[in-house]
Amino acid sequence: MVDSTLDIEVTGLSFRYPDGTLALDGIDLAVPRTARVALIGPNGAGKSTLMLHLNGLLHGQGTVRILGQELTDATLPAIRRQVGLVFQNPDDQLFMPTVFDEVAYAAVNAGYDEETVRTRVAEALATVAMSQYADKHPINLSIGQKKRIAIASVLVTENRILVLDEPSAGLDPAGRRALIALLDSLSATLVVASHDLDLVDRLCPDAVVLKAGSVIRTADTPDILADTEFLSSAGL
Amino acid sequence: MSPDTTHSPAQVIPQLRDTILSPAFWLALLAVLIAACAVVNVGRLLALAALAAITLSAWLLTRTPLRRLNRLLPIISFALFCFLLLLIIPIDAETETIQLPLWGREVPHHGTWFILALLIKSTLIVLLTTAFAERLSQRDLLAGLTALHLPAKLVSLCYLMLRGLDSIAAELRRMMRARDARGAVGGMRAVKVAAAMAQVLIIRLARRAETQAFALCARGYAGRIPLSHYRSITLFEGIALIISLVALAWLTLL
Repeated sequence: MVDSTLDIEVTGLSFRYPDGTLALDGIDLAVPRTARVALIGPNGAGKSTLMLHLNGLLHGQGTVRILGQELTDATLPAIRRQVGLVFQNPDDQLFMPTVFDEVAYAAVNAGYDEETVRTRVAEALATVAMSQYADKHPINLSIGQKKRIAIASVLVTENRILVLDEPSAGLDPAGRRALIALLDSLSATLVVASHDLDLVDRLCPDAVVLKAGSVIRTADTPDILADTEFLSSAGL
Repeated sequence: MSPDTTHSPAQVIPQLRDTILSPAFWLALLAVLIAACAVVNVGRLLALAALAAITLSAWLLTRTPLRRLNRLLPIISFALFCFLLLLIIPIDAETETIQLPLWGREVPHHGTWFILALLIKSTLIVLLTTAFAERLSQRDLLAGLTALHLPAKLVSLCYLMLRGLDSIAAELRRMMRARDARGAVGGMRAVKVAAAMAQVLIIRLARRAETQAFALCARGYAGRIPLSHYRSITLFEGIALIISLVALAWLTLL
């Protein structure tokens, strides 16, 4: 039975890479509507692999439901319009010739008319305070600015769910504070994978700890972060 | 990072570059010129002179820096290699030959003309492409190819390959910096290090390409890279292109 209060529902998800590495081993995850959940765990725990499943970029065994819809080939386009994925390295994500085109890309793909695209791009760029860079080439921006553009490029289609992989990696303290404030101002459901425990503490009331492809604990973030013995045993 | 309230939506939209002619026109004109260079008979000096004059004008109009002439190096190297082959290939009695001026050495007539034609044509094509590239941005290329209604997959491939060059250059720069920071040395050791770097570069680029493909698909990539706004070819531009095509055909073929 589908739980309508859940934005993300993952059941028994397992995934093995072609080289035989078991990246996910029977993951269960439930993220309620507008919740903010942190995925934490050491390198190789399966955080990024799990995130790629939430957008249908990888297909493992098990079930992934987004906004009540099971992720299948038929539902993939609709689900990708609802789940915005921000990659760890913005250079992997940004490929269009100008910031405007970069942010507009998903909106044009979603079939919005030109006027709507323009309005949404303007709003998304304003949200991340990058309006004045619209005609710049993304390659010439700083890492913090590229991160903001990467976030704007998923905000443009008004995704209900934002999935962010290491959003604070490579940012200076001011850029990191600005990013936290920006993410805090969004109303979308957030799933954040990060090693930055301070960011997790400030942004996500709930946390899921992964280790070797399995969920080893799901609890309130303050409880997990206060349990230093557990953090140490989890490789954090 | 507080939301930007100083820019209205209209201000945010980059204006189409204030040029008289569209990127699609320049790309189509370049295609016509390349075709003319490819089919021209090098024996027709008038046609060659006209194409050379067009190429020179393109360089002057686009203010292409002379350092870009280094793009001719691969062509010159290839032509030299072919010429050396002509010198070492034995000539039998039935082969028509010509004598090289100054040197006096006999070389095959057809082979020499072939190399000469190849050198002249490819030089003109590279010089033209370099001059046009000086004027057209990556966005112009994408917008122009899209406006010319070329197959969407072909446009995607062309654009992503071009964009991929930035990634390769950036990755290579990082690797070279890391190599130099650890005290790079010359000689045979440098050759071995360069070979190892090439291997690592290929692996890194393959991984990066996979992530970039994921990033494309995550935002709805379906075989094309759409732009929200671009200029199509106008009637005036279309007529100008047809006139250019006819003029160049007359010059090179008749």
